[in-house]
Amino acid sequence: MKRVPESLVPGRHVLNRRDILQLATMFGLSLTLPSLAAKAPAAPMTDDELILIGEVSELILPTTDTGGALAAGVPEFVKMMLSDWFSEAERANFISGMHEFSAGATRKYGKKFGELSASQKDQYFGELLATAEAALTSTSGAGAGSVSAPRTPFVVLMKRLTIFGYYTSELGATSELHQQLTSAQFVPAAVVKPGDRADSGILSAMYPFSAS
Amino acid sequence: MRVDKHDFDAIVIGSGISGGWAAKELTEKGLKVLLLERGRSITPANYVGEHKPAWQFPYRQLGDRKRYERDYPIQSTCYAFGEPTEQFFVKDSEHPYGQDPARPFRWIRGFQLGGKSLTWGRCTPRWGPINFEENKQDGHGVDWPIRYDDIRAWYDHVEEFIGVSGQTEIDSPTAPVGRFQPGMLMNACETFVADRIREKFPGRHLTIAPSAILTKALHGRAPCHYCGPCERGCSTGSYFSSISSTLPAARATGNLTVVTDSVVVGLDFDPKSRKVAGVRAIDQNTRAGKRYTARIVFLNASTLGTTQILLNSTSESYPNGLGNRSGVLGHYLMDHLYIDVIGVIPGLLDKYTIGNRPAGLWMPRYHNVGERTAPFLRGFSYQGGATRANWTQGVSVPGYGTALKQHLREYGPWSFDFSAFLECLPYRDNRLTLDPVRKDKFGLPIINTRFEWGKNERVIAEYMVSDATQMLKAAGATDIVRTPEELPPGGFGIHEMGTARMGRDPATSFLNDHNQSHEVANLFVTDGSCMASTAAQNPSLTYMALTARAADYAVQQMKSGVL
Repeated sequence: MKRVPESLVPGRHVLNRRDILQLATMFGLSLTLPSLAAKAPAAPMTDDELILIGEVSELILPTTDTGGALAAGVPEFVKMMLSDWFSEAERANFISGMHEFSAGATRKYGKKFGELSASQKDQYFGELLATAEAALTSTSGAGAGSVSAPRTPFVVLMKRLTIFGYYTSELGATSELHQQLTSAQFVPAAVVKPGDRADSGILSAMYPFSAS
Repeated sequence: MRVDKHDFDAIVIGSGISGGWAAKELTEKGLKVLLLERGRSITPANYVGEHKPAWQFPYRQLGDRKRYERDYPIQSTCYAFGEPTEQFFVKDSEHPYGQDPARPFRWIRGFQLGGKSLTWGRCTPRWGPINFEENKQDGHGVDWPIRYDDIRAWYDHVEEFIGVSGQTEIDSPTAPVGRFQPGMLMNACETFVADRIREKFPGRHLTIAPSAILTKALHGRAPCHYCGPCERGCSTGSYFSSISSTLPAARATGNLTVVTDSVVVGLDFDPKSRKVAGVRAIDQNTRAGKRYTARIVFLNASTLGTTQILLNSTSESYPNGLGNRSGVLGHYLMDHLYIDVIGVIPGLLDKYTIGNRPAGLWMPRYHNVGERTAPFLRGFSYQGGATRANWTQGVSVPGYGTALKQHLREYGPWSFDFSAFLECLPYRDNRLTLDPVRKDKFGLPIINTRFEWGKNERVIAEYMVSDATQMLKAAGATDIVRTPEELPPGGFGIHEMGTARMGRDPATSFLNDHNQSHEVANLFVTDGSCMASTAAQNPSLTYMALTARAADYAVQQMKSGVL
């Protein structure tokens, strides 16, 4: 059985670079070590940034009795989306939002986000997300930006990416949720109790995703 | 019956829903048939997206957005298009067509053996008697040259062969009960909504839709296993497609020759016999040209594709397109306008469904049936269904962390979706023409389209939204939204019809009462281009029935020596 890093045990929130690289190895991800990353041309994210993405995604969907965002490979998913799927403008909005997120932590606490205590990280991210979600609700709902001028806040984009990346992963769809690829039957009024896991519906629909 | 001077007894152009039926019927009646398909061959081995979960796709089913923007800007707007199904859609970049910028028409296409039968919606209501009578009654469009009684037995024939599951308790003049297998079941929320509607709106019946998906084994095809997204292909053949149903039957006769990758560019007309003398085709890979001959030709290249071929088949006798003495060819393009109204249904939180049912619900048209109940012509039908929210609601659930994760672990509320399809009247100015200059890579002039909704459609659209809203409210719904907000462009319903319509008068229609050209005796057209009106029902079952009926007539004419 694969060993989960101690910091990812339920109740622990401290992540360090070693944990993330260990997880990456565990789940077959291809995070690069700093020495290799230096050679990579025009990498969309530095390793430090990827670690930041990992920490934020794990805040959004943490390890509980099932694996969280890191275990599900969400940082790799975010990296892929950013480099291959986002438009130039969406990527610029995301990157500048990410830089502002880091700089804001330093301004507020005098330390980098990665060096904050678990409760400081929680407080910092939580306040930003609550503010952003309140603003989105009061304006035009989920899609605040437009294709030409994306301006959805970094924390909201991270939430969307984390949710999408997590629940479309094998871990999210089959361990956290229930997966039924073919049931060979249709039961129209099955009984569900509080606490029962929902079906991931992973085959039955295509889910829209907006990065603007 | 084989005549030596011809390569085949019959040529069928196109292998989709209607072309597959033409091939099956003609081969089973003993004709040697050549089936030409412009796209590649397909077997169940090509269903590469079937049962494949999201994490096995590079983009988790979102697809390669930049490639889609470049190669599939129109196809990617289709609900069935995506990373698991993109192989069943044409590249717009390779197959251009023109649109009037102010009057756009979205042309969804699948160039492969089986055509769009691989990705279709599978809802197969019959048309009822009034649907063949209203053109005459209100004067919009030409009178249909047939009535329900002319096609009823052919609906029976088609339903029994393809396998249609559906309910048989409620018969409706705008959705007659057919030869159905047992219907799929309505879920707890759908039953609840249907009961509330029945209480408040007598005469409005929400039932399971008649669907070309098996609930019992048929001709070696297995009943549905409820995986959900049929459009990925079905290796058990549980939904009807040409690949699962008609083409195997045609092949079993030993009378079928299939040539794929063969793009038909024109039909040659012989003024002496006044018949199609040959079919010219180009191999899409080698670009080699080839000409085939047969006693009769069935043109089933899709609504716009068929008319494109006919318009490009010019001769001294028919300078404006083969058989187009009337000038109606290319005109009266129609589609179903389609809008969703969705609401959240409170309660029933102890119920969910096991399995993904690929059939939806259906409410037949109830306005202006028998008596005039609304200030517009004709009407609309509804499709729809209820589902429980799952993790995809996460982006609209505030917060994060353990609480968010726990929230998304369980089912969310039920929502009910009404999809309304409205009948579109035929308008002469809704049309396709051949571009005088631009040609595709096979030298075929590209199509230019022009399509706009008329006043009647705009009035109906508001009624179908307000009726759906009232019915949702009767079921206690909250958070009712309509999508899209504006009227969608033509083609969005993917029920394109008309442009080579049937009719009684050769001066105002292209085809007679047996889908035979008024002008060219051995030419039959039985795809969506033949339609003289749209009704508010999905059209494919009617294409199949018309095809079987026309094939029967054509073979009779051949046997009696007329053809």
